[in-house]
Amino acid sequence: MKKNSLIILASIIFTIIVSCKQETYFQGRLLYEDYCQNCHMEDGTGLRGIIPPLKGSDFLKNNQNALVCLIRKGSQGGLTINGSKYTQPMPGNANLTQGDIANIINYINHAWDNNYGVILYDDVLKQFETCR
Amino acid sequence: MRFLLLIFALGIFACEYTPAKLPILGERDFVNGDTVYHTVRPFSFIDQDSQQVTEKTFGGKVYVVDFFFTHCPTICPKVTKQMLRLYEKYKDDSRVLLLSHSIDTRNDTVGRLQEYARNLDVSSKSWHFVTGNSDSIYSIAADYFSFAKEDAESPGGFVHSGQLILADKHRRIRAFCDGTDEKDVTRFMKEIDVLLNEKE
Repeated sequence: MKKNSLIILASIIFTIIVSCKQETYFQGRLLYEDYCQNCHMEDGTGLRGIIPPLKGSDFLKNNQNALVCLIRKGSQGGLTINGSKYTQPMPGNANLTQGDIANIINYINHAWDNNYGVILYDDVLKQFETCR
Repeated sequence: MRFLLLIFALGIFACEYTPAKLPILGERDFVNGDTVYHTVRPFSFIDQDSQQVTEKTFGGKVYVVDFFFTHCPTICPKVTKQMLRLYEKYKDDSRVLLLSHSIDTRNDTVGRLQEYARNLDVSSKSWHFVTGNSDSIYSIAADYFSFAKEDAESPGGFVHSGQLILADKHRRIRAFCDGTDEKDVTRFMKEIDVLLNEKE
C-alpha cells in the first residue's frame, strides 16, 4: 500500500513538472512558423547556399541592432553569414508590428541552442524609427 | 505471452511495410490486348548549364520531379531542402536523376538557375534545373499529376504543388510524396529503392 501511494505521488509530481514547464517564447515561435519558417526552416538551418541559417549564426549574434529593419524591410542579399555569402534577396514583412518583431527576435535569439540575449520592446521601437 | 509478442512484432512490421513493386499510376488504355499506361509526353527544356534536356536525357533512368521558382517565398525552400536529401543520397548513383522545373520562366533565366545550383553546390550531372516555354512547363506539370500556374493573387505570383513525383525509365508515374514533409520524403526514398530493385 505504501509503495503504491509513493508511485502515485511521484507520478503527480512528474506530471506537474512536465506541464508547468512553460515555453518562454511561444508567441515568437508561432510568428516564426508563419513568417520565417518556410525559408529558414523549423530547425533554423536555412537552405544550403541559398538561405542563411539562424541557428548558430554569427550574423544574428553580431547584428542585433540591425535585425528589426532586416525583418521589416528585407534585404537585397549579399550578406556574409558564417563565412558564406548569400546572394538571394530576403523579402520584407510590412505587416509585422513592432511587438511581433520583438517576439520573433526573442524566439530566434533563444531557439536551437542560440543564446543571443533578449531584445527589449523599447529597443525595437527605437530601431523601427530608423528604418523608414 | 509468446502469442502477444508475435502480434506486437507483426504490428511493427505492418507499419514499416513497403511493397515489392510500385503501382503504375494514372489512367490506362487497352489497345489490341496490350495495356497502355499513362506516360509523360516528350519534352525539351534548357538546364542550368545551358544544355538541352529532353526525355532522352532521362531514358533508362528513374527520376524525381518537382516544380519551383528561385525567388519563391512559400514552400519551395522546404521542398528544395528535401530534394537536396535525395541528391545527397543518389548523386553517385547514375540510375537516378533529379529534375526541377522553374515555373517562373521569365525571371528564372539560365543564368539565374546556374547561380542557384552553384549556391546549392549541386551538379547538373544528377540534378537538372530547367526553364523553357512556360506553357510547356505548365502542361508537363499536368502529365506528372502536379499543378503549376501563374496567379497574381498568390505570394510570389504563382500557385503550384509541393509534391515530389517519381517517374520510371518509361516516363510512367510510380510514386508521390509531400515535398515539404521530411517523414513523407523518407517513405518516398524507400519507394525509390523499391523501383530501382524492380524486375521487369
